[in-house]
Amino acid sequence: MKNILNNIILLIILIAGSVAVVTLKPTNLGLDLKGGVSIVLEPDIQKALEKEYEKYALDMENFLDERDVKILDVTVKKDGIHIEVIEEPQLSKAIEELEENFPRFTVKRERKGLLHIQLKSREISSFEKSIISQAIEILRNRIDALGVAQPVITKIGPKRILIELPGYLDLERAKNIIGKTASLELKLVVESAPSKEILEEKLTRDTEILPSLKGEEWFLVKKVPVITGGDLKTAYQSTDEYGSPAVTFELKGEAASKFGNFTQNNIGKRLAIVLDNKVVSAPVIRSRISNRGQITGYFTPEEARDLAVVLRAGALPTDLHILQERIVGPSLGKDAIEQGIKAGILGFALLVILIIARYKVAGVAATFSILLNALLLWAGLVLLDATLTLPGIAGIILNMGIAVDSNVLIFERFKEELRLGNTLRKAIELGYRRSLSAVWDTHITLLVAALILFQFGSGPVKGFATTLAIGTIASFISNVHYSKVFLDLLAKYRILKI
Amino acid sequence: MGVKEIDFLKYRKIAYLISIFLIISSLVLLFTKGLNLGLDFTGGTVIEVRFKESVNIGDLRKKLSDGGLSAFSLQRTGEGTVIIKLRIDQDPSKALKVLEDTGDYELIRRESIGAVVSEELRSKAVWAIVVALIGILIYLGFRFEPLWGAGAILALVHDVLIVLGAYSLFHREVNLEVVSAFLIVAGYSVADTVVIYDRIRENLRVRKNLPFYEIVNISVNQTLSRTIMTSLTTFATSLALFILGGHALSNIMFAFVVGVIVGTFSSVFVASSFVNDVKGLLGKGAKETSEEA
Repeated sequence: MKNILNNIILLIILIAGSVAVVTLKPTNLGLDLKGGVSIVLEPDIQKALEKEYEKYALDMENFLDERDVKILDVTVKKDGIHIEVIEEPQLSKAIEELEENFPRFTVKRERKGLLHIQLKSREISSFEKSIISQAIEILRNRIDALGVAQPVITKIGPKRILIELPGYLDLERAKNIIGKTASLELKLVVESAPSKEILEEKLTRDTEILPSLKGEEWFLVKKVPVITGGDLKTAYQSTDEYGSPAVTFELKGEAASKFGNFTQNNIGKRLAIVLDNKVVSAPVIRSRISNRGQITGYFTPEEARDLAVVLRAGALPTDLHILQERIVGPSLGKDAIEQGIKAGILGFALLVILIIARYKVAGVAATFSILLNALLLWAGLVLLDATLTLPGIAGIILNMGIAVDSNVLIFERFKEELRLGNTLRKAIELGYRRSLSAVWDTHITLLVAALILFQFGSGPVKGFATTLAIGTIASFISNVHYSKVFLDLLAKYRILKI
Repeated sequence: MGVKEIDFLKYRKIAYLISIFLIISSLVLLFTKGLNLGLDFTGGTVIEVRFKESVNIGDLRKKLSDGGLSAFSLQRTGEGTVIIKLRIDQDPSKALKVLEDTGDYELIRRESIGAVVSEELRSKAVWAIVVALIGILIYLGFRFEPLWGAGAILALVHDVLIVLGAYSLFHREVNLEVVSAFLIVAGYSVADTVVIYDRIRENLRVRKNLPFYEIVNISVNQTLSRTIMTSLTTFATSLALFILGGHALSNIMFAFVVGVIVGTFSSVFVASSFVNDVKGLLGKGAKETSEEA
């Protein structure tokens, strides 16, 4: 009987602990239950790689030039830098030196006179990782400006980003703030024209052609920007001289003096303000400008406000593609919880009626086990910081139905042993021992199914799987272990009827 | 024995016919009518709204196609909301504009999934089912003889196929959550079968002199009250959710409502009968040895 006593003490601790967890720690509700916006993004790694290669192409070209290697052409593609050279005796040495000076790259001689330079695969994967963590950092800064309580910004899978904004319902604005790369560059205008063709003839190696925001004008601009988004100290919404919405930015000290010199030397020329490779405006430089500038366009006040937000937070390292987006209105979750509770109560009531009708006093014990099971499951979910989702509710209620199975298996066997003429206590013992292997089997098959569901790895299904897995373990504690303790106790005080 | 004996195996021929009929109908449905795949697997956009004043579905349909949308479906739910599903190549902003013009509404949910994700989820769903089957197979192989494992898998495929057929028949949406429900139904089906197998194995040890046919019958009878009780409790809870749980939950629970019924049927009539019949065909092993003894 000492055994029973120990078990009861343990049970009380278990219940007290679970109740404490459940009441002290708030239950995480999934987005489908509390409403809000969720967006799954994937950074354009290919594009980022191309940009990275572009950054190095010029350096490598100069490097080879200094070593008297005659270069015919340099092209940058997604798969690396292609340099066409004239084969000369000093080429092999130059390549060796190139590899030494740019240790992140490998240089391959593809065919005669063509060098193919790539990032090493190890470098590519660390580059990918840094792009994603940079993107998450910047998104976090931007989302802070939205003023959402407890936003989720997290990496899912190898290269995706999940954003959840609970309680926030303006998907369009969220997308504007999140999805905009916001790479700001100020570039000197060489020429502008109403069509691209006119400019194409004048294109040189250090210039490029960019469209205006609405695409009605084209600009030939210097490739190397004077100022980039990284040079900004801050940006805020303002109005231009005509009172229209605009964004004013201030430059950091170093950039400010550089910009001052540049504007002084280029008075009378036009400066293109380029946002995500589109020219927003191209004002004429009238005087030396050092620490601040203004972006005007045909902004609405909201656009100006959001542009200031994204400029302040900084540019994303590359474009982000939206793979999945979702808004859940506030009523869906409320209704779902209400309906879930209603259905849960009815389901539980049916369960209790069935079980007490068949097993009498033992059925009451089983009801206790099921309640204990539900309590443990809830505490487990809260403890693991799991999120309760709509399918999760289904999982909980279903778990109650399935959890009963262990009781049923054991009780049926127990009845059978009684019929075979065993005493009450012996029948309990034998009933347990003989049904245990079947109980194990049912628990393990469900655990296997739950674990497989985890591989879906996202959102609601994961919630369902978590619920099921914890529920199965909780069921082992309550419906297998404790339900026997309850029966032993009832038998001891001779109130067990079955 | 004290238990009323029912000769379950006697009815197995009729049961086979019922099973074959259900499976063939399910297959025919799957190949002709197909499944109503959810957004998770097709990609595209779903918009669910509740209009302040009731809107005629036919009118809305016309407005949407006038608004420049060609591939979409409309559905009114039991809760009085309207669900608009747009194919992946349709512009959701057009639909939103039409909704604005139609009347005041409350947005219940809106979801867009791109082709990359939907393709990935499709293959993941297939993988999950395959992995689950293999996992269960390994487990069964470890616990029982191969032939018994085959019987359990047969029962499982039987159950899931019929549940799929039911989804096709009632044009219910199959999404990621429903696929998870299928997996749980599969787990449930196997658990049900395993309980009977467990008993058969125990009886094979205890009652060495009985023919296999008898042993199966006794085992099914002995576990019958458990089978009925568990099925009843699971059925009762899933039925409660199916009826009261609202649109999304009831769609998930439909798998259980159907699954529990066919699962109970198959564990009694498919898995054990299969083992008995195949054993009879192969060298008549069980019967002869027991007759000699």
